[in-house]
Amino acid sequence: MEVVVLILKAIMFFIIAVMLIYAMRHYLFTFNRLMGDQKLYYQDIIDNDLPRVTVLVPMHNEEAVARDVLTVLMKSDYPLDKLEIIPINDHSDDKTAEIINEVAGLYPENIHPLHRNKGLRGKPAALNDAMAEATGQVILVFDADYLPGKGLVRDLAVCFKDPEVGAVMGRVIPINSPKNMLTRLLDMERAGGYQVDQQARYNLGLVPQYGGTVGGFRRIVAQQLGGFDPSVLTEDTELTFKLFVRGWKVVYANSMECYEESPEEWDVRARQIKRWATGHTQTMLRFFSPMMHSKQLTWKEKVDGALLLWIYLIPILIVIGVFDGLALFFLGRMTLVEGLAFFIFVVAYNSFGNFAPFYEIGAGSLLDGSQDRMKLLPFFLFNFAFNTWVISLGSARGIFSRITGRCVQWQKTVRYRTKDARVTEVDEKDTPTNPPKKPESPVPETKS
Amino acid sequence: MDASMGSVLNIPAAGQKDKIYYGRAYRKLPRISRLHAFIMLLFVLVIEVLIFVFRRYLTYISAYGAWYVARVIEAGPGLAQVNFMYTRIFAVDNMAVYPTAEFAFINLFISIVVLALLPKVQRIGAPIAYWLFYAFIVHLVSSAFFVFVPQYFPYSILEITALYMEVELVTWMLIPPIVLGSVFLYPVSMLGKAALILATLGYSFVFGTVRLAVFLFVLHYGSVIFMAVLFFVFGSLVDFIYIVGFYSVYITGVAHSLAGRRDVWKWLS
Repeated sequence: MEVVVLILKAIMFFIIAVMLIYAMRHYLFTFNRLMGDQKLYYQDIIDNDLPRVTVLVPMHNEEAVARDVLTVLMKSDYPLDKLEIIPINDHSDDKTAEIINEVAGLYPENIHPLHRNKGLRGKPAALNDAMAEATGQVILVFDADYLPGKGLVRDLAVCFKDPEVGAVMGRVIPINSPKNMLTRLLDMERAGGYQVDQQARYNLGLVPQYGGTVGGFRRIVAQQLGGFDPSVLTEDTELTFKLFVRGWKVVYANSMECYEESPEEWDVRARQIKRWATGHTQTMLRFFSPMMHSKQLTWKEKVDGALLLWIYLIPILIVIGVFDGLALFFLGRMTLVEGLAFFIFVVAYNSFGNFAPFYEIGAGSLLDGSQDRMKLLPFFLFNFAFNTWVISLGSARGIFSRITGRCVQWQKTVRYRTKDARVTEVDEKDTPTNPPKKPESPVPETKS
Repeated sequence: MDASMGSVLNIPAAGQKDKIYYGRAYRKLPRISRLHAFIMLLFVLVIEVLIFVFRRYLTYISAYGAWYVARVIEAGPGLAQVNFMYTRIFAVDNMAVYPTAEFAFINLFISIVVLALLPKVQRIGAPIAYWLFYAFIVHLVSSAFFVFVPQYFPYSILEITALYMEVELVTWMLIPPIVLGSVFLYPVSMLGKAALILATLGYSFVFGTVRLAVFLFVLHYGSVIFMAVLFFVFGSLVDFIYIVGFYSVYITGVAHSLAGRRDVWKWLS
């Protein structure tokens, strides 16, 4: 019995130690973002030798939004002779294909549809097929419900003038944040995640994550690395670490904002974070060892990379901790340290937000300019059980799929914008006038 | 600038903005001065010392207050003292009420039914449903314990209230550094930060006392079968609601005060 109690206490202390490490990590990020030197993105580079860009827009049953995204992309100020757009109709059974063809008919030089009705469904497989057709040196990806500003394509593409950059990620802003409580909470969560977490990691030379939309990567490099694995549900995390372990930079562009629709219903949100948890865990199992053995990375990059890879296992640790605590409680061995410390650190770290402590979310919202919305912070506690359970299921599914080799099916996130909502204008950024045409100079695609 | 700006349907066209917002991508705040940092740390240290010095009296007030509020409970000797932190702190003693086998079985049955039906109930919001799920998982374990091995229940009322008071005491000692840590970096009034710490601490004291009274009431009239739920669902986890609640009101005030103040914001370095 004493051995059992010892093991239970050891597990509890291990969980507390892990929580403490993550709490300190996020406090460091908060401090750095609030007070530290901020690392600029490449947006001030004015270069008329821009790379050829292919914008991929995966679509599965996106009739409500398909026309809008293609229309605003054609309003981009990127040189049209260097811009290719490939809307990927991925096994749609609504009017997506017709809408794509209709818009492509208006811009045949630039929009080259790809219709996929056979083969694997899902974003990774769709991106792989599209990359095979793409002619751009740089691939940018936007989800179908996004509305990129006029200068966003150029602003994202320009960072690839740096030969060390492998991928870029912009800032995602929920457009439907006033809709209900869930969207308001997600808006704050995004503020913590992007404004503080991503930017701090960029400042500190750690691992900003390529997020799969409002971002891009080098096409040849991605193809040489084997493209996207269709069995991994988060192709963005997979690419991030594929690049990271080989020494490519992933840059974060905090000023490159683009609007998205965040989930408006809890079951939609559950499916979304479950998919993230599954894919992230799959990536963790695949890349943890290569990352730790990589000769391209510094020790601090490896440490933070490991913390990033393991992050979706935190809810599983919390579930284990709860049952561990219950066991100690009913064995009469729950002492002050386990009882209090576990909950203090679990709560401080995880309860308020999805892996972002409350002070990080508060800092992000403050920097964003939010004011009264921050009074909703206590409501994040109600996310605690929801996030813990759903993410635990997702992470467990990721581990299970890796062990058994079973594929998990891709599920698309629900769209809320109706067909009747028309886009009249998009937020325009000040951009220089289009540079004069110059012969395209070759850009090295493979990092030596 | 609120992050909800720009709906699809009414984003203004270029050149028609009536206000140019500060770029938020790289703005940051100036560091607080060393004097500011020193004074705040000293303030927290003084609070910690005071809590430690008066810990015995604080637990007396809290335990007595809880006992007084719950004085409908007539059984039991009332206050008792236990060793903790090199002194004797106060806790509440009472006759432990154990569930009958039938009561334990009914609770077990209800827990199973609720856990089975919760996923099917659409009208409850998902976050609340998951919280209920968590609470009933804990209660299921407790009910099963009292159905199968009730003779091994390890706690008396004194032991659990003693653990409660120990947790409360340490919570009071942790609140000042946690609250200060969450607002330490902001270049705003020290008085405001001190007021936040004291307000959170004061609320914690009152809340902890009232909560203990409620716990005593539930344990007496409901039996110790509910002890696990009280501890794991309504214990320290709930403390963070008001800690973050006070923080959220405070940070909202900070946001209002910093909005539009060009003299405060810095960019890049």
